[in-house]
Amino acid sequence: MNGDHTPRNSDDSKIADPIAPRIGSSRAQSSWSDRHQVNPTNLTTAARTSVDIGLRWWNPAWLTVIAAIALSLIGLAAIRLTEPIDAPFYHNRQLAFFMVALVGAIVAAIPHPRWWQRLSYPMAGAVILLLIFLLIPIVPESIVRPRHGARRWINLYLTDLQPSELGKIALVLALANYLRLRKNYRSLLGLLLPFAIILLPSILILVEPDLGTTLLFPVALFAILMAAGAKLWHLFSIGGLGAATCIIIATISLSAAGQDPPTYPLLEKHQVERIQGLINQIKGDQRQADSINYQSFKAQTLVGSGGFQGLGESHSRVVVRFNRLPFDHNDMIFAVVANRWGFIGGALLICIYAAMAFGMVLVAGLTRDSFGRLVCVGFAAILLSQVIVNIGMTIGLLPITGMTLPFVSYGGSSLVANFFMVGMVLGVALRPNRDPMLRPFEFDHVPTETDPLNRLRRRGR
Amino acid sequence: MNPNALITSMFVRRLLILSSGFLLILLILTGQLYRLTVVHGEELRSNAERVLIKTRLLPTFRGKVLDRKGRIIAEDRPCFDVLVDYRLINGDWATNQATREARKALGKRWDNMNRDERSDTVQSQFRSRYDRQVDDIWGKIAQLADTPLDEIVQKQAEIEQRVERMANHIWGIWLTKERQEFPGANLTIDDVKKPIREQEQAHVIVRRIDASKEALFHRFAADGPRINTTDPAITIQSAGTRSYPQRDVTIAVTRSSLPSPLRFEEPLDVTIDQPGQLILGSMRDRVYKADIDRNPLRIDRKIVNLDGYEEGDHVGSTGMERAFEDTLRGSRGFIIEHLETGNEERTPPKPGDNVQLSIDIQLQARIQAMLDPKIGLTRVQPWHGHESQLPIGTPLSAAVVVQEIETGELLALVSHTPPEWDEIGLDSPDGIGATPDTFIQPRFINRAIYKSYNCGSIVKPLMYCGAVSEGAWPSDKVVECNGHFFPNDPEHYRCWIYRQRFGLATHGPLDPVEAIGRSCNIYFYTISDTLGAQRLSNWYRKWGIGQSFHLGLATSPGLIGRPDQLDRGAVVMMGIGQGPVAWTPLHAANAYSALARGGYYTEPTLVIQPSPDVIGERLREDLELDGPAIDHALRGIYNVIHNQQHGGARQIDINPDPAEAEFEPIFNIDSIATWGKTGTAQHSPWPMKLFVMDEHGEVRRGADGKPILVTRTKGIGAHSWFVGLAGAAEGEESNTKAQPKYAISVLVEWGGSGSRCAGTIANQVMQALKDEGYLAQ
Repeated sequence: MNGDHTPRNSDDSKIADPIAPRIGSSRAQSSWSDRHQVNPTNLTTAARTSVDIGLRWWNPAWLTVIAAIALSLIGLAAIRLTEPIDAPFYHNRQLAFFMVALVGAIVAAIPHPRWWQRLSYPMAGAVILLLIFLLIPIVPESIVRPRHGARRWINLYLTDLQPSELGKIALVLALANYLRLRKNYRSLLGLLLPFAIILLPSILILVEPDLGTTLLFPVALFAILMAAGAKLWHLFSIGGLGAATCIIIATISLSAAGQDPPTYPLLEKHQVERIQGLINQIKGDQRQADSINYQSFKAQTLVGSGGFQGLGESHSRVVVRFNRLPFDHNDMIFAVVANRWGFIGGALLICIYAAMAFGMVLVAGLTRDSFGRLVCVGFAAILLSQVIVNIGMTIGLLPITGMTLPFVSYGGSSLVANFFMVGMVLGVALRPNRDPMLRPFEFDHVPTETDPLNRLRRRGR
Repeated sequence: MNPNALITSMFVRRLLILSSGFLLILLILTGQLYRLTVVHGEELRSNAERVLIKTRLLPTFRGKVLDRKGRIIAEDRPCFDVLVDYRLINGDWATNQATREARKALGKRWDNMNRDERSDTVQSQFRSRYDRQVDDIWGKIAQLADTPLDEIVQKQAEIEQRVERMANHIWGIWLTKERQEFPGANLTIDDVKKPIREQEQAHVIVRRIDASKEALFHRFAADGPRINTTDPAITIQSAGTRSYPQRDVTIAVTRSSLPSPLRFEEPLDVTIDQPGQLILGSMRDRVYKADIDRNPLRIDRKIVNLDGYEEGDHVGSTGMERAFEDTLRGSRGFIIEHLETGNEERTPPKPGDNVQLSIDIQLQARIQAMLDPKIGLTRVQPWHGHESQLPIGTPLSAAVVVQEIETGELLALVSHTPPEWDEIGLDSPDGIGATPDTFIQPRFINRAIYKSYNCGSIVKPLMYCGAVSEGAWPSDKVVECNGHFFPNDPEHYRCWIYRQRFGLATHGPLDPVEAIGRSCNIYFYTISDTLGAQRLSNWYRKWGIGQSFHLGLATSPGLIGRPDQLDRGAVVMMGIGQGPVAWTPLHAANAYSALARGGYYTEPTLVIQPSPDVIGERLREDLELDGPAIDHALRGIYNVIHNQQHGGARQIDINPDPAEAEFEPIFNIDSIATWGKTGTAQHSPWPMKLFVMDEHGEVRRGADGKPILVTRTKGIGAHSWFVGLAGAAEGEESNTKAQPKYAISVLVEWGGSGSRCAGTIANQVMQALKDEGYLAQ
């Protein structure tokens, strides 16, 4: 047994691209063999070549696609509910965005994932440039117009572009590309490098300011590293350290704000107030229901008033309208959904998200392509985190932060970006690399007698 | 079992860990969702649906104040404000309408224009039509409201300026806040320029139109422009105000029964600004904290009492408006608007109850008019004689009370203040409080009920009745008047007749009827000396002194010295109503009513409806007077007027020449029965401000046109009392058989002689009663 035939991932610190030299040979063979449930060792080269260009149409990514479309339709109905009957402005725009987003998903699905892999670094660079552009003070307000004190949007006249939405995609792609052939993150020092990669975009988004989106990045990285096989105790140590840091920052901020005169050394005043508001709210103190907790109380009121099966369309429309929940068509859309369709609707929505993420995880599990695996996990993590933060803040478990509910909230950039992710997952699923030679991220794999690679090896291949 | 053996792929295991983590969190979210929707669903639903109900309060109308004959003294007259939406005022409405039209008319061209081009197009091509329409609206409003257009335009500009100023101020505050919250964000005022509430509200453009115009405005508003598809730009809102129909009433004062120097056959028209104002009182627009504390409309924004108070309410401030505030006020109505269905539930306001006063407003006005200085009874006149030591023509203040004997109801309660005092003004150095007492006091002091005077001789019949009923004095006891009470002291405790100018005359032996008729001091000194301090004080109290009446107005309880501190001299003096004893004209009239009722005492009242006991339970008591004593007392006071030889109030000498006399009767009104008693209330010689009179009997004025005042310490004189009873005459000759129906008390400050000053006024009060139909046979 010589070194060339040892499973590569088990001992190589850096290996060559496993796909590139195999186009038309082992990759095609793998997909064909999968479909025909035959032992690849019995196949001739000719037979393998004949199925080279085939796509695997029957795959779990459709679960994700259907879930995303269902969520978008629920979103459209909910947005419609927040608007006057005769003036469905946001609904119509969202419908248009939805069409564009579907096209975007197809566009994302068409190229082979390796093209996205190759584009990932340039894309990340472009997004960073856009994020820097947002922060340049001399940019005229006609292009970057601050809203609610935040510089998050670039005016494209027809619609606004939110670079941080692109940032989420670019970051996952870049991380996947970076990690797909490495194993140095299994050491503590190597683990810190990926964190350094997300630092710059995180800071740029943080100063927009957009704390919510910034917080998604470490979560996505954590999930990707976990999937990629980083040592669990490393991850949990870093995670615990991060959580402890957050608690210390919050404690210091709260005690500094409680002094006379109050000071705000670490967090902004409104951030401290929101944390304080959440604590009071959990304690059941309703005194701030008209001030800092207004939005949260209103949202919970609307959620709860939906009851078990919801209020029905016309009643819900009036209740939502006259309760004047701020941002009811975007950040707070879950309150509208729960109000309209009740616990059943809300729980179903959560189930659809779970199904969507499950589809992505299945795709990750069924492909042997390292880049595809990490992309699917990264997207699932980023979308689910967003769902958790958004629903959590709407139902009073988390502080209010500006974050949309993926696919459901109003917002063009967000919808298009989310469908782009779905499209890419579909792209990965359509071309599942089943090369038995590939064992990405299987660091504890021990070759056995029945292992096809061993058998191949024994035959001298 | 080793999980690694079960699931050989590390990647799959990691996916399972991740998925489990996320699944757990999603389950937590679902749990909280369940808690909110199912566990707390009902409560949160009612919270959410609360905003679907909008409650609007409806104003109520305050009850009317009526006089005893049902004439309206005060009422809430419905009137209305016209409000115009701010967007019509500042031109936004015209811009919006023009923009809408432009968008429709230009179609695709509009879509291709940028913001500036759109604005230019709207301004140049579409706006003028709507501007003209707005101008027409202002013109129509001016026309309907019967107001000059200039005023409307000016009002509009004022509102616009005020609201813009307010908006800029508020935006400034918002900007500061936002800048603090987002320090790096280079914000300008445009970032916070959201319309403030006043910019989306309607503002009052015409105030207080009456009901007839309201209907016109309603029609105009209904057909007029709209801010959106439903809300009209012009609205009408109720704004009820208090109005006083008896204001500026003109009375033709009968002058044919006046003393001959003042007598004319034709009546004189006198206009009374607002008769009975001191009784009715006034309203205030300001709500005090005490009002809200007592009866709040809302607590924590929740409506708790529909009859409660909030900022902007009108509140009874003084007089009966205040005393019967809770009766008159009424309670608001409300409209519950169901926003979901657009249905309205209307609970109409409950108007306040009416209050009917016992006052006859016409009689009140007539007596007020009769006291007008133009008539002459409230100026020092030559026939007032030596008791008045003030120059001829000096304006005097006076008080009159008319009470129905049977019920104790007050028909008139007049306090007259010379108009000259108003010219001095309260803020001048001579104003109220400048001296311990003042010659005259401001108009808002109701002398009839709020100021106490020494009782004077008017108490003599009452003291006699008291002493007889007490068993201390035989009802027919004769006392010899020898001029002075203490045998060895002819200088003090004298009878009024024992004076140098009457040649130190005495009354000789007098029975009680004569003693009362001739007002002999010695008879009553003897009575009070016999009664002693305690019993004398008790009887004064029984006749009402020391009691504040439950009128609803502030009254003075009068004054009486403590029995244990009274020496014999004071006790003796109190027998003729001098010394440490004082009461108000109301006390006097009420005591005489009790006497005329045969000793049944009841508190006076000013209201018929609702029951006067609302204010406080009226005292009713039988004084158990001795029958013959009452008879003697009434005969005595009959003699005061009718005894041709000795009656104290039978005549006046109207000849200004002291050397010659020309007598005429004081009470000269036909076919009524009269009884009466004069009195003179002495007053301590405190420094006082007096008017300075010129040779024509007019008040002298300084360069600034204001009356000149001078301070005098001595020689002012005494207050003049007259208390009378009047009834319809029974047949031609014998008034003694007639029943007195009304008690009248008159007090003239510094008027001197009871008969010649107050008596002549009492005669005119009887004339007024007759003129108002009270003394018809």
